[in-house]
Amino acid sequence: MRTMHSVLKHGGLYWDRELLPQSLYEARVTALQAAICESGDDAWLLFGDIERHGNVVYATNFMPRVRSALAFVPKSGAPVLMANIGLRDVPAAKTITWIEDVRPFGRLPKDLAGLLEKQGLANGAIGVCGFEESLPVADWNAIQKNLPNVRWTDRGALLRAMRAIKQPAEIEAIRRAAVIADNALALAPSLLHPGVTVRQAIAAIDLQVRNAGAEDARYLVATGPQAGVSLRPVDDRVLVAGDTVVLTIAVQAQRYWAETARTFMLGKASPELRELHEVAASALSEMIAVTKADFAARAVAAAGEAALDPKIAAGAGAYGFGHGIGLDAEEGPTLSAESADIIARDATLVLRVIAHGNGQGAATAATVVAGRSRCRPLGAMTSLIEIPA
Amino acid sequence: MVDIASDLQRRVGRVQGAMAQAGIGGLIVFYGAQHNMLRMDPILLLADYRVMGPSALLVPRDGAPKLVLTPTWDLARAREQVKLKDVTAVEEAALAGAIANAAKSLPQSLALVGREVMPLGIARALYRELGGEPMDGGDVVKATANTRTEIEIERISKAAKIADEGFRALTEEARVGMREYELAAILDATMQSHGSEDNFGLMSTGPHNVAIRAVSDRKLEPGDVIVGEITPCYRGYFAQLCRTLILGEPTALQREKYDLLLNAERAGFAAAKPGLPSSGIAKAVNDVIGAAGYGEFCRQPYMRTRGHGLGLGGVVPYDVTEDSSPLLETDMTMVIHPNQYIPETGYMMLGDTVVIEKGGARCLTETEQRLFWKEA
Repeated sequence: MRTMHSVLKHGGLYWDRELLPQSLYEARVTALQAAICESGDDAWLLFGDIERHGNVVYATNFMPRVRSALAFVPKSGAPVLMANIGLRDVPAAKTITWIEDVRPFGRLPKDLAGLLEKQGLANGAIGVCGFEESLPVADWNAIQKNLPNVRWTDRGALLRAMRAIKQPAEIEAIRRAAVIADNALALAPSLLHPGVTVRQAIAAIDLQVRNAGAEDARYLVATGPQAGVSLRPVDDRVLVAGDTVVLTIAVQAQRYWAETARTFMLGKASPELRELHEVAASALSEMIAVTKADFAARAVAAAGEAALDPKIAAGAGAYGFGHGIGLDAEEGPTLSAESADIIARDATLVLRVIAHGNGQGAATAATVVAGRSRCRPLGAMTSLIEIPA
Repeated sequence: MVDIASDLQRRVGRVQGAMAQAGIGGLIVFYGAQHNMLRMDPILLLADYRVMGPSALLVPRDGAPKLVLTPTWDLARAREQVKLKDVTAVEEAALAGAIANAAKSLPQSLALVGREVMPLGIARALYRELGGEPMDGGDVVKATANTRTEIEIERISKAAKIADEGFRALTEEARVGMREYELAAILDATMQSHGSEDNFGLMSTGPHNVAIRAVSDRKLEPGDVIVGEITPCYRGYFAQLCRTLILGEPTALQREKYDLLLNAERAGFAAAKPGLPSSGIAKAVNDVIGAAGYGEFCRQPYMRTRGHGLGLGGVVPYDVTEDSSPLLETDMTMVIHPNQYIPETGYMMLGDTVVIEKGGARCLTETEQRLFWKEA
């Protein structure tokens, strides 16, 4: 979900080892090391920050709550986790990672140079993942200056391909995140009523999400006249009778995200709103019907687009018809007309239709897993919900 | 009170003055969707808008800035809220081209601020589109933003009141058996319902905390010391409150050691006067704690700073340490926190957001400065 990101992860941060055992990460590092050897590199650096940290979590289970972290994975031997934390924070960091060697850093370029030099890789071949998307250019300039003889190669595409195929434990984690979102939204009809502000209502929903153990959540809303225009971060508008409330929510639990959306009506929905929601729901159904492994991502977007009026389709396309979801709230494949991505088997995706038209707004979405012949929703399917006055 | 449009014009004017002095004709101010308590958001400062994706404000040496933002669907919100006439939105893939295009109308020389947050991929695309790397804008924005305006102080004051509400909820709702993340959720929900947009919130619980950390699934127990760093955000501006709550009556030792923190905070406040160096605050705090025999615990790895600039992200005086050099000025806002690890009691917290005024530091947070406790 594209939105404003909070200054740190607010929710409970702990490691459910029954759900995501250490062996899962050990197997990933073994696979990573095979890929490193195959690519001819000496090691890979997996970088992530508070917004996009999937690369780091994939190998370590460590998620930066603020700032950034980097995993050093050599072609053989033990990985190292570097985190932008203080020395006193290391014991807490170790409770959520299996990596023995956790090093706090203040300035990444200096400390990374020290690490690579000690590993004898100051002249090595290093693959990097997440640098293009997330590493600040100021840090990159300093890293290159400190390590002038390293041969750098972007290996992001290789890692993205590995991450795209979700293992059963990952799918279960995403399903649990989807259930947290669904359960919280089930309370929305009792919270959305005239006189409350959007922020107060979302605060109550967020309380449910967090009480269920989520470590993060994101909300985009549009209420009243905003519903016909665009989604936005939570604001202080006071709800009134007759308002439409369009709400999208992404929940992260045990590092895995799921996303869904709902359309609520404070009162009886107008025929125009019903029609808009039906069109959006029908577009989502079309997308669900075609989504499967080895299928072109752009064809899924095309299926959604074809079910919509061109003007509404253009607006829905601006939000995006969906993308991969997992350790990042937004990851590959991208579901758009321009996408060249192919959906991997057991890929998890969010399919989404956000429609604005004739002063009305409607949203519907589903987190799904792509099977061989069809996809399977991991959360509840949505409908237009009327809240009696 | 000055209206926000006039206030923004003055802020932009100060930056334009600094640009002229630095020989900068046009300035590209980059920021993204990662908002940070310790990093100033220059687009918020100059346009009063919090972006949801990589975006740039283009500031000419004279005249009004232009805002180029992502994603495209956020344009409607921006046009509702931003006071500038020239606001456009593009998809992220087209951002570099749109910035370069908008920069064509800026006078030379062109400078860039925001390299410390600009992702490598966007930087590469931007330099390609511009035909080269613009000069470093350095602190040309930051240096104009040492002090807060009346409107900004009002927002920080509101954030401080929200922090007070958050701590009140924490003291009321904390109970044996609940999980740390449940208590943190109540605190956040309370503050959100009072207008908080965000919270840099940390909390640790236990009989002997070593430091503050992320909340976990630990269940609260009788005798637990709950330390909280509560930092809500109101309309982009932060305030912080640090306090300690004990589930059960404090021991005489806990009371005695917390008095040390109270004395240290008072000493810190007394040292926070315009014209004095911010290092004086750290020295004053450390002197009180050091005199009680805990000097070695005033340093790393136990402690780092005795406060920091706060309000609009990381602003002067930045980290307050014995080595920090900025001179305090009126209308600076900051948090002073003599949080301290003490071997006998563990980590305890006390801290308040203040504004520096002619007569010294004025607390914006109103929660009583004392050791809190409730029956377990």
